[in-house]
Amino acid sequence: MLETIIFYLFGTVLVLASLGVVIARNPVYAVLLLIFAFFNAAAIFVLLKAEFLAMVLIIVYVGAVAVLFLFVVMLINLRTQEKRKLFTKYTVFALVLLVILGIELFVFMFKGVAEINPTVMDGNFAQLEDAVSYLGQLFFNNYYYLFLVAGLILTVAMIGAVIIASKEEISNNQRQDVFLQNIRSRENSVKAVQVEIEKGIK
Amino acid sequence: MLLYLSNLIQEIIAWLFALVGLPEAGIPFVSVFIKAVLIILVIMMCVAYLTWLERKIHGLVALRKGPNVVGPLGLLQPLFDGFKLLLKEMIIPANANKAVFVLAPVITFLVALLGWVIIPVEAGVVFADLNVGVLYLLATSSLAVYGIIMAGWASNSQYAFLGAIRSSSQMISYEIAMGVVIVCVVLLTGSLNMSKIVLAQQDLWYFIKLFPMAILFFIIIVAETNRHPFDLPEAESDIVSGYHTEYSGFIFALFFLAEYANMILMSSFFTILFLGGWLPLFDVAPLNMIPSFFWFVLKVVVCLWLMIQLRSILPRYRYDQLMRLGWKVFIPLSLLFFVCLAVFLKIINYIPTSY
Repeated sequence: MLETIIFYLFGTVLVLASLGVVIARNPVYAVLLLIFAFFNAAAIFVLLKAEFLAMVLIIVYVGAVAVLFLFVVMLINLRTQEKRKLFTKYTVFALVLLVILGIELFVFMFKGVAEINPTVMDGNFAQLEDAVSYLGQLFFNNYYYLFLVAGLILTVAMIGAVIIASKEEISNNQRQDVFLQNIRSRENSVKAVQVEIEKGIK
Repeated sequence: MLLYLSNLIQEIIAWLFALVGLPEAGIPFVSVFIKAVLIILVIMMCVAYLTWLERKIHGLVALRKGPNVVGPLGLLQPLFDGFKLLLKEMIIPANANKAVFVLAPVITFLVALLGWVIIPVEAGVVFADLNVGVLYLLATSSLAVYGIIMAGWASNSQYAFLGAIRSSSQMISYEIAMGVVIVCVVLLTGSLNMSKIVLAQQDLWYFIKLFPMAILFFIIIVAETNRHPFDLPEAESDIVSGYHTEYSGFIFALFFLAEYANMILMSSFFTILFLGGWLPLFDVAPLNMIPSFFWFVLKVVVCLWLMIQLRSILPRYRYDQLMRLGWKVFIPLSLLFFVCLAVFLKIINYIPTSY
């Protein structure tokens, strides 16, 4: 009874916050509302006894991804007029996406998760007291191959991003080397000279 | 001792409910509410006296007396400072985004209190004994960035924005190394539950077992709380006072309280992960007679003392040095240690203690 009330509370706020993300004129408000929506989604995960998923959602999406969103939005200072133009430009694309997502949603609603992918429901996931260790068993025993591949893809993506970012810096010779700065001492950088008058130093 | 107190509160509430004739279903709600209020009050008192301790330690280091006028040993100084901040005028800049400007310190303060939910101060004395306790603490500490970014953006001031950018990139970079160090601890314990991590240290503290990582973790928590020598977000010599440049009065007080509450929270986190939480130094007669709660407080105070003394004896880092330390020293070092530890545990066929 209480859980149902809490579920509908978080669910309603989640839907309203997501609507706000789309409607908000100020992009910074949109990102802040998106973060709020993530929180409500995490709360629903906790209600489903998937604490691990809830925490990872907050750490990864709220703690890392949304911070970058917020930075980009704050730094580039979007104009609302440009947003209007983009809106008319992408209307058709958005409608197509809406239809596809709607069909997927209806399939899920009428067939249920268990019928589409029975493996999701095995192992009495929700009944386990320590769902984290069960998840660990699954990750590192049953799906270790997929886990490794996912890690590899992320590593490659990271290296790509580093290369793109450091391309300009390679030609820039004004970089500071902390090691060189630290071994620099008074003896090899300062010279006391007796300057002769009207001759100066060569 | 605290367990007894907590049970006493529960019984008093049950007795009051029976006296007034309210339905028994309401007892858990009321007791949770009262315990939460008690925890917040205790933390606020600790924060107040932490500022007193900080000023005393700085005084000792600089051969001064520190606060000594208001009350004996200056003990009433924090209360008067608090009143002063409450009575000061709250200025909101004309060009600031008012809603976000006021929301930012509130969020910072709230996030600083959130972490206390899962800190076990004694065996069984914890607000919520989550199975994913360590992850919860990582999640709340990653949220602390938001208050700072929002403050920097909403103030509509260059100094505040620069401070916010510095602070958030610093916190994000050090969080990665922090996560890897925590994974080392979890690898030995086999659980993400804070109480189980403490109990796994009964024979030997992780401070000794994971020695270099413990030192690394201490430096990381100093960086995470934006404290000296990593307090670049509020480096007064180059960006006035960083993200809270435009704040005054009570909304500034919220930032101030949050910083100190975060210090205590991170010190207790260090205590639980590496110093054996509420466990006594050695499990022998005179030492284990002392209530375990005092051991916890003692260890936290030692950590805090170190953090404060660092502030008074070290110069501030330069920003690029700070980033270099985070990305090029701490992350490779912790990853290397983690891989070595994992391989070593595999070789000796180690089974985690709480498994």
